Amino acid sequence: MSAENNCRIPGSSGVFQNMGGPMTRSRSQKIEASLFGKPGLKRSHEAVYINIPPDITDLEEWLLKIALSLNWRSWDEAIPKLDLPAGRRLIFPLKSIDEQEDPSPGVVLRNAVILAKCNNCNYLPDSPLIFSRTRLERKLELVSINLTAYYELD
Amino acid sequence: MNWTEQQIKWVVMDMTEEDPLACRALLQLTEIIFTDRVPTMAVTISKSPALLINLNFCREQLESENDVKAVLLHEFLHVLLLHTGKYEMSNPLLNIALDAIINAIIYRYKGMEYAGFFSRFYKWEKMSFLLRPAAGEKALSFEWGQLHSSIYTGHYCADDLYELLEYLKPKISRRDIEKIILIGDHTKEAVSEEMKKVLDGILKKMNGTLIWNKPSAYGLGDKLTHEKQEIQKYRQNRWNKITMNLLRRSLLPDEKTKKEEARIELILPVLSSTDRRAMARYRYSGIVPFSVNEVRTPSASHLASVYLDVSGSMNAEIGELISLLWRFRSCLKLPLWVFSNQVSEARFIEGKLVFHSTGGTSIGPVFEHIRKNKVMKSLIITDGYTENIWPEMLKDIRKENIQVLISSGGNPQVFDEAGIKYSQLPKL
Repeated sequence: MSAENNCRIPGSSGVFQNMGGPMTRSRSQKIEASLFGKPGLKRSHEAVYINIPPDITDLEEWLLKIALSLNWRSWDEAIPKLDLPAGRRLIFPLKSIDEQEDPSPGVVLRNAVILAKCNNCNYLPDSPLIFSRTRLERKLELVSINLTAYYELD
Repeated sequence: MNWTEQQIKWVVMDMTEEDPLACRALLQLTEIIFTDRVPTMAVTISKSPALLINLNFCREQLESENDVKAVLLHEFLHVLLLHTGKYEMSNPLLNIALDAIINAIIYRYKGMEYAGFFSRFYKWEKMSFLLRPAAGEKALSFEWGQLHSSIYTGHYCADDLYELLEYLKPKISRRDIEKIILIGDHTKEAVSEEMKKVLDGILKKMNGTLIWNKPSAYGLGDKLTHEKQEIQKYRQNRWNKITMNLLRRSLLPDEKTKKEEARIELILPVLSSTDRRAMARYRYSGIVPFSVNEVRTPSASHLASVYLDVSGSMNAEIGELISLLWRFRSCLKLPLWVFSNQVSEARFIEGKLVFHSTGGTSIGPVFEHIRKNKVMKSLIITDGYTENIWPEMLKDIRKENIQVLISSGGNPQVFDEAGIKYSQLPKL
């Protein structure tokens, strides 16, 4: 896949970050392979996606209805109970999807909130919630990296 | 699609985060107002910036979030390109020209992902087809097809297109223009001082990293790439022309290499088929006349002695200069001379110039080499970053027999001061 196409995939970066060199000397294709090829680099990873019915227009309203089924009346009430990742995470397009059998409302809400907080490159815990279909229809893999192992530090 | 106000606000927020064409600076200051005062959408920047959205228009015409973003980007570009402040917007032809240019920018930047909306919203008929990219439709006529193609490949700016449409006005029916529904508010308004600063900031961010960086990535931009290649070819030809002129002035016959062919005419009492007049004379007189006979003999090749600067300061351009010399290798006296702090030999081996360089630059050893080897004419290729040329350095050397080619990034000052003629290559 070319670098340009790679940038257009939801969840991947629209810009080449931290290149450190001119474009001719940069490598953009094998980052994932070199990053995750070594064992012990991934500290955690999880697949995040939800299936949104096509007839839903107001996504926030739909999600709040699900929250209400769990007796959570607002986002302020729901978010502390969703066990969201505490720190920043890298995001990548999800390669293979294991179809879940009717995920529980809690899982749907958690995944929706995570997706709403993900920009093009990262999951940011402090990011505002944006419930657009473009964001929530992404199928992402959230990854945290063991930086000490990555940089081979003691 | 049955849009709600809140969902439109989410899309605007999403687009603000996405920041296409650096629109975040404006959108994050903009208040969103849902109103029927505008037929579609509009951005007003006269006082406090506001994005006016007609929810009914959204519900009737916009099918996806990308459609909403396309219209938002359209409005944003009207503001950014100062259309509302610069033009009298009451002219329908001007409005079409401005909208067509904006839609073409969106098409080149985001492809059919966004511009698909324009293909649905505008019919493929005169004049509305100018406002949308082609989605497989045939051109209405050759001329109009050419015009459409020029707009969507980015060859026209708004002023060009408006001028052309004004010229074509007699060929455009008024009804064709009147039935077009334009997106956005096409009324003139003043831009507040605060907003001018915001817009200046956005324009400064457009430093060639967005649509202007990869015109070939979307839409019909590949034609721009072709144009770029043509410009590159033109510049390369200018390089070749300048170099050829200087080489011509530096050519000298080299008795050691006799690769050229000289044509000598001898008048002999021998019939020659090339001298048809003599042949005719023989036919009617029967006597073998003197006729012109051509003889070809190997003669000395005309070659130029070239001194190429291979100092460290030439690193940026040395590759291009070597490929230039490679093109003219049949006119060069080999081995080639290269110089840094000293003059040494260089040879082309499998298309590469193999040479030794100390990294420094000194022009003195070149003149010494010319004097010592009695090189009658020579061409020096350098960037000009050398020591000053004193008259003693040029002792016993005729300045007019030295040609100097300065690289495009070089400085010819030292040669100018020494009274040596030079030519400088333009930027590639």
